[in-house]
Amino acid sequence: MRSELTTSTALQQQLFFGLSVASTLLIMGLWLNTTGEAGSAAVLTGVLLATMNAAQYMMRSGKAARLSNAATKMNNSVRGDTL
Amino acid sequence: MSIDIVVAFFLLGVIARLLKSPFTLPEALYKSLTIILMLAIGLKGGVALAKHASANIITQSLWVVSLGVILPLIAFVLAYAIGRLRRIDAASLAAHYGSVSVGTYAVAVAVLENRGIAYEAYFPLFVVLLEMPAIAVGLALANSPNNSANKSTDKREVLHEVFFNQGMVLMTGGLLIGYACAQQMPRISPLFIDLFPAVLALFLLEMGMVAADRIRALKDSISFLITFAIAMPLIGALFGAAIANVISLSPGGVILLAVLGASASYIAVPAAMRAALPEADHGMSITASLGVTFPFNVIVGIPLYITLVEIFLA
Repeated sequence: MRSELTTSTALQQQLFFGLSVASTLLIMGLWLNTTGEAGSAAVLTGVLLATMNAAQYMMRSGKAARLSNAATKMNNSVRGDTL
Repeated sequence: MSIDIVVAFFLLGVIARLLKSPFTLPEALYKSLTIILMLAIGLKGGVALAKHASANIITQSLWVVSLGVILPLIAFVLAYAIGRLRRIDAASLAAHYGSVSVGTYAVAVAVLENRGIAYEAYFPLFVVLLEMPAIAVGLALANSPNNSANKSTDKREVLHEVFFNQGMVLMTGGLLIGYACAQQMPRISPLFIDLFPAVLALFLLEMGMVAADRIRALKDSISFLITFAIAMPLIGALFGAAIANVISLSPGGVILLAVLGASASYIAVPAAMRAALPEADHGMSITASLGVTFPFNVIVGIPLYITLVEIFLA
């Protein structure tokens, strides 16, 4: 793995790639379902792929940590209010 | 949604591993199954070649080889530019995705025969032809002025692996025997033809367990590798189907070439890459091809390609 893997551009490119593949599968699967063919497996794979890519982007870019910190702060302040 | 009986064995293997069942298939049996599968595919192709040999097959073969050159180039660009893999790892991964999986091909053939879809009987010739170019392209892509792996590359060993690996020897050998002795095939067909679906089912049972083990090995680059291992079959199937249309194959042939384009090697190429590029991350490549692409093709891909080809060629 090259060192620039975790740069913002690299992460965004990987997210875009992941979401493109996921949406292709989703669209293909939904279209197959509408034509009466079995497209559910493709839809499910697309959904899982999109979720996984979004989750990995959030974790690697630090957005998940920031969200978690914000949630903790909010939780603490709510507790403080009630005490 | 009905599931093909041989694919059900693959799922049984995955479930057995997920449930941490201690069940294993003896290694000698797995190796025997692989040998029987490769010989059976070669023999079937040889017999068909003896019946249908024509000059047209040479033109078709050249187009099929071009598929084996195009796909590793696309895979390399994706792995190197988007996945940010090291050049040597991207080249090794590209070689896996330019080559073909005999197991996936066997599953596709079983599904087509089960559904009564006809295809060109000499297809095993294309399987043999698609084994080689990707390895050569992968090695060329790995070559760069700064690549220290070149120093350790023993060209003779690599060439030996490219042309005389297990898959090449058994399938080419089976093809030649089938071609030369087509009349005597009934003598050996009980094992190689009649038992083919049962042998494939046992092979897939083992593959299911291996795939379930491999997927756990993906760590750092799990998101990109899984995406790549699902994107490449879709791209490969598209190119395979396009080339099959250009060379005017039957709908069954279009499906099979799409499946060949979609599949990734996990037997021949890993052995060749291990010899040629010892510094590459081979675990990553085989995990992607066997842990993600193979199950994707068996469970989602093959039914999807069949449906799409049937819709577009109807």
